[in-house]
Amino acid sequence: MKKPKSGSLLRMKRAEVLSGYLFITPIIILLGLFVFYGLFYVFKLSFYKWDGFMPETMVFRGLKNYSILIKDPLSLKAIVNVVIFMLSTVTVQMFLGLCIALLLRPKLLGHSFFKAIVYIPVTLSTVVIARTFMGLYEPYFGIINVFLRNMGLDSLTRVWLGDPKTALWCIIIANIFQWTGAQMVFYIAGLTTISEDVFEAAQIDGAGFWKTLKSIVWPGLWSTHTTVIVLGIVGAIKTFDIVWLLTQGGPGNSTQFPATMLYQAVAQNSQAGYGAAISVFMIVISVLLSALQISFNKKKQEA
Amino acid sequence: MKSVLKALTFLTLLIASASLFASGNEEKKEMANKTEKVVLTWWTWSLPTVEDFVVIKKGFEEKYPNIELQSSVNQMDDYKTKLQAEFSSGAGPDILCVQPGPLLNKYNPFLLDLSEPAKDTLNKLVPAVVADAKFRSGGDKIAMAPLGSASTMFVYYNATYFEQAGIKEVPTDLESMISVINRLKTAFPDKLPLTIGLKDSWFNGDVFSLFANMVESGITEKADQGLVKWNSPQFVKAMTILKELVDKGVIEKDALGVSVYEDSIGMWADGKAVMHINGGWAVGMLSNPSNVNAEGKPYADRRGDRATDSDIFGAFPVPNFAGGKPVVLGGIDVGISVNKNVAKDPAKLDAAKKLLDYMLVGEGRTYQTGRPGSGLIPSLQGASLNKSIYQDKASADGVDAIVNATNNNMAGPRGTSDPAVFTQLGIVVQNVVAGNDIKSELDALQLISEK
Repeated sequence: MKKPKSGSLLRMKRAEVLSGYLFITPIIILLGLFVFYGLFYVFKLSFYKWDGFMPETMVFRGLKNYSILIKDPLSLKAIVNVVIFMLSTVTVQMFLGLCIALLLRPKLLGHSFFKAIVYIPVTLSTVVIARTFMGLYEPYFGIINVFLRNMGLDSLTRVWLGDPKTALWCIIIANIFQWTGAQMVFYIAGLTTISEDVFEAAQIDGAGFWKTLKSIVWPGLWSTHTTVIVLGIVGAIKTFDIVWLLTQGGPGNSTQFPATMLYQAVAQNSQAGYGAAISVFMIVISVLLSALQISFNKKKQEA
Repeated sequence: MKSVLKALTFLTLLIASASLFASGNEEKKEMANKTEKVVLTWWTWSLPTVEDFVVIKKGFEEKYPNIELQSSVNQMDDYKTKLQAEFSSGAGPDILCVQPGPLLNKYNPFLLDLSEPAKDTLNKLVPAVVADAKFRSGGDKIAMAPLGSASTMFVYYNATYFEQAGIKEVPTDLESMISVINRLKTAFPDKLPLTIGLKDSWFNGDVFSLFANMVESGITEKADQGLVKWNSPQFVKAMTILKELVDKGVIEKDALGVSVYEDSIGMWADGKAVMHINGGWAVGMLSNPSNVNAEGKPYADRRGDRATDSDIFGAFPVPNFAGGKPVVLGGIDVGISVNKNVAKDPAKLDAAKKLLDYMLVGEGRTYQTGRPGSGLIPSLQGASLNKSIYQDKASADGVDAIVNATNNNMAGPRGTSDPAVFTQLGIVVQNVVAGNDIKSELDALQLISEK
């Protein structure tokens, strides 16, 4: 007969098993109530037509909300926007965050000050960030256009937030400004896991900045990359505040994101069922992309 | 001696116990008063304002000491969220401000029919406005007591700059508007002749409706009822006129990056722009900052310490660019509704009736639609805007133009019954100004209305 593994439930006394379950009961109840019930309810709602108000007015409509979502050209626009946003913000924030973390690693004079400076935007409300960037982007008297005009570069002035070609990039820049400090902190923490001896050995072997980055820092920080990328992906998919504050999804839907579509559907257009379908779509995409990234990084680490 | 002492002690005890009894009685009375006090909760978005509520509460509670008024002023989006959460749970405020259209329609089943309980008050209002309140409530009941009307859109202009540029008349059609803009460009090369906040979807829906109603009065209401398609020739013509304004430089593409309140109105008040487009509710801006309220604060948003402090402001309706008389959109802007639950408590219902009367025809009206700077045109028969703070001819004429247009040139209501359609109207405007194909934009709008 096969012997049960150490720590297996079969080897535990009944009382121990029971007390274990009792310990996790409160959190299971809380999670069930506030997370899983909510998820289930959103999933159920996505099959109904409802104005989000009186439950008795809910009408079952099967997969129609999903069919509308798939056929809506706005969905494709939102997906394309979120992909561009995700790739741009995650890549640039990772690169800048890592570079700043590396530059601040030697603990030179004033490194704490610079760390604080880079981190300040993370602590600011998105409203403050948005208002600041609105002041920069304002077409008539905004700092960017005024600067360009003063430099005689009138042809380069734009309606930054009012031009479908530039509005998304303006949002991306504001987001990068706000969150690079957070990535820097992740990388500073990650760098402390690489022993100083390894850096010294690399230095003795004549490795320069780029060689050290490529052969030591980059592979040594896989778990940090995973965290940063997963947070970036999930953050990008649910991005709402900065987009809403800067453009409200405009001009002419050019900066629609899944979350702004969701807000418009539920809060503005009273389409709670359709909004639920958008939510389910966002959850599925977030889980899939995160799982993909985690498994990719796991393989990379094992290799 | 012993008996005197006994008597004195007895008397002292009697007085002490009597006074104790009396104070106890007073406490009981006070307690009873407190418990008898009817509490009315009143929720709204920006109207009445927090400042308005201070005087309204003071005046109302002085007049009715047994009623306590508790107010909550919110941003519109927060207000909608709060109402949704409260009414879904079967609660909700006792009194709430509503706007005809989606907000009223959504909460209509929870609102008390005011036809009977507020009959005496409603009889003192302009009959046409009461009829409109009934129509907007669905025709079978009156779900809101009309606090005041408003209309849009108007051109607010700096009359001082007009005079400096040698402009004697306000524009009334496309040609005169182009001429005025050209003169302003020559006279003030560093200023914007006209700003319009096309970044805001709430504003752009009105822009669409205004242009459509210039082509055919009442057309958006017909389309909203499904009697006309949103891609009909009238709408194509309306958007072609809008495009023409962009092509001729009356409206700049840059306006797509401008918000009404964050940017446009500020540029105008700072003297960076000569004209600014907004609704009639911004009429307080016509008042000079030297007109201040009891706290020394200038009326409305013209806060003072700006480059235009000594300038004179005026207003006129947006010209009808399709030809003919200018048209405006609007109707009842703010109505006061009563939660159906209030009827279950006779004391509360009585308090609610008193509040409605106080706000619509009583002293409360002078704190709201009758106060200096108010943008709401009162519903009370014979009442008008308070003109005491508009001493200059241009600003007084501006007030008259707004009141006259609201009373006589109303083409239709603001908004549509389906909020998704209204959102899309704004998107069509943005896309047309950006240069997209008009026909395909209107086809997309029609598709959304059929969803």
